[in-house]
Amino acid sequence: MLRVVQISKHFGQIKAVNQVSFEVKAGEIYGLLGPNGAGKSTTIRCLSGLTVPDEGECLINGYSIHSEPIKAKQHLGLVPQDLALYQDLSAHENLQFWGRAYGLSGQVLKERQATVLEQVGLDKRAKEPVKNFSGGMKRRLNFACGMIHQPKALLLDEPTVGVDPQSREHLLNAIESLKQQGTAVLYTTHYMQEAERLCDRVGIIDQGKIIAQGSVAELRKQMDEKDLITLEGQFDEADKTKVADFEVIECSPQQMRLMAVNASGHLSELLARFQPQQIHQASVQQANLESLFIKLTGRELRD
Amino acid sequence: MLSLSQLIAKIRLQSVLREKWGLFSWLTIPIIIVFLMSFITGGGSQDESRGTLLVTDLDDSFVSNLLVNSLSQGELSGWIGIKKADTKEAQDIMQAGDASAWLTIQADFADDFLNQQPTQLSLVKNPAQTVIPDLIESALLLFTDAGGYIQQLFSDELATIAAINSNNDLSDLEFTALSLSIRDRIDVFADNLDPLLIELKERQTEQETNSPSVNFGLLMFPGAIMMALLFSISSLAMLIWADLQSGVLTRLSASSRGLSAYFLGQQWAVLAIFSGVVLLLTVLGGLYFGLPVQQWPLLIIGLVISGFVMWQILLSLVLLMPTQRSANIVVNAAIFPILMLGGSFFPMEALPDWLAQIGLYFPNGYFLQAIKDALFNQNNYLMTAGLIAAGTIVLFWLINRALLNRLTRRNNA
Repeated sequence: MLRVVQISKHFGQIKAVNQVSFEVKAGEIYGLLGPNGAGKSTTIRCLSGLTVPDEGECLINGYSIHSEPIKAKQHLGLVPQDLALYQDLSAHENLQFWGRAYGLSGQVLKERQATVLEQVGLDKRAKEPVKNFSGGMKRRLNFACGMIHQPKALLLDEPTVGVDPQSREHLLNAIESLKQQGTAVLYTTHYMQEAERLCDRVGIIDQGKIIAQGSVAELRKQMDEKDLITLEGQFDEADKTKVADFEVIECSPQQMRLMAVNASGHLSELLARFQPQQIHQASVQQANLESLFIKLTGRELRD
Repeated sequence: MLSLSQLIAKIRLQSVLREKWGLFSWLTIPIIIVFLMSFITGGGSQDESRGTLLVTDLDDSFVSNLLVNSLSQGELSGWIGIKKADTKEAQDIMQAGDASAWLTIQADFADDFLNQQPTQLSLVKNPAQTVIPDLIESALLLFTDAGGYIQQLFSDELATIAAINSNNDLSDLEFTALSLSIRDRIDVFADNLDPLLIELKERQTEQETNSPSVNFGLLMFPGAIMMALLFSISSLAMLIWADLQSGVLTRLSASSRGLSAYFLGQQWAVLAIFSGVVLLLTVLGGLYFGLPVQQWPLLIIGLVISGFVMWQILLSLVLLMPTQRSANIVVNAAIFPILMLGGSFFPMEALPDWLAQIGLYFPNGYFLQAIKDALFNQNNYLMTAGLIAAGTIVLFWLINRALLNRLTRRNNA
């Protein structure tokens, strides 16, 4: 349904997206994970036709977004990272506006307005001006506007940023129901728990390149079931020799990151190798997408 | 159900109506300026004259009445209003400074004139005024000179008329002889006077009878309506930038039909707003300044089209700018010279010739003058102006559509 083929995009000297390729099938949620500035939003802009890539092609339901934009956009929904709503209009009016923008009219539009308002839990406040809504409610409406026309492919650019837990749950449930209906969803986020809950497959993007791709289970396998140990304190290069039997991911003057199977069981023995005042804090993280990202890049997702 | 472009137009109209103070300022600032200017220049309703000549006619004869009536005829009527008063009343009015000049006609004025005796007119001018008292004096000098020539040319006939005036009796034979005598005398001088004078007089008379009397306020108020439109253009164009900043335009450009409908919707909204503003101000100005109702449609249609041309031109400036702030600065910087030289603050008729010529190169100046010439001067080049307007609208429509695409794309880069 959604296919990205070897796209690249430069802004001056900066290579925002570099030879990115992936595919999202109908009824599948594909997560694009990466820190800020990794190239997620640029990829979404290329896919939605807002930016023309320097190389490569983006296909929506078989139509190129750049050579056949009208046909391609008919099947595409976009939920941008920033709110795109008329604040003075009500939720109902905003949905009418965006429904019209995607060619809906008459009874179909009315029914879709009612359905999506219920899906995002705003049916009781449909007539209120959006400017009176909380941030989370605005996010939910922003999402509803993107799916009003039941697109075959939906692009979600960090839809849960700054959202309260109640709104987040509404959104995640709505996305899961879209999947059940056969919508292909591209979901960008830097919240690992969301990606692990929602996504059938995940692509990890950093500095414009996809550095790992596969199902969550496949990616966990890349970690060899190892946990991540993070030590904070004062370190130098000589300290590396003390942990030669561990896999050292990073060793900086303030922090050391290591990987080990069953890390919790080895932690006290590991700490004993250092001076007591040398370590200020120690933590263990079980194998997940976040620890995989750190393993692959040496950096955290929110860096 | 509304189409997308109509819905967008409705949203835009609602947002304009919500900004009541903005709307209020578009309408009131031009109204205040035009009324202030018309009061300053004394150009209220068209029946008001600019100066008052008090006349104390102690003679009250056919000849003295002829003289007084002459002063209130033709173009002089636009400048001088005659008010008859007795000596006491006239003195009081002059003391109060409420008249431009005071003319006293002596009791034996007609007898002296007809009998070719020297006679005297007394004129007292208001020293607080400059132009109108001098104008009255010049007019009187012209009439007294003319009286002198009439005395020279028609001395015998005037003597006969004087006799009629005293006896009030004339036989058919005497009347015929008098008529023939006057005609013979005119025939003698006809070769020198008739051709040029008669032709010139006829042409002036024809223009006067066909064109309405135009005062300063009437000349100014079409320009003031254009001022209201130009103020609104600045705000309306900035609303497009607001939609861009809010992300609505970005999302629309990702939809299958959004951006084209958005552009069309803006045009509908602008036309609707301009029509409302022009209609309201035309009714107010037309009633106050006395523009005949049958001329309102031409003014309304002309101004809406002219405003729409200006919208297209200024919109291209706004869409060319890289940021909202620079767009705001540039459009405001452009509007002020356009207002000053394009006949909105000062009508072209009040500008020096060289400045008025420059003003005609401004699109609003050109279109305003085309409308005013059609309304007040019977100099109709509306067809040419309409073609230029249509061409400009089509050209800038295409340019603006491309610029809007470019702007949203650049904003997404």
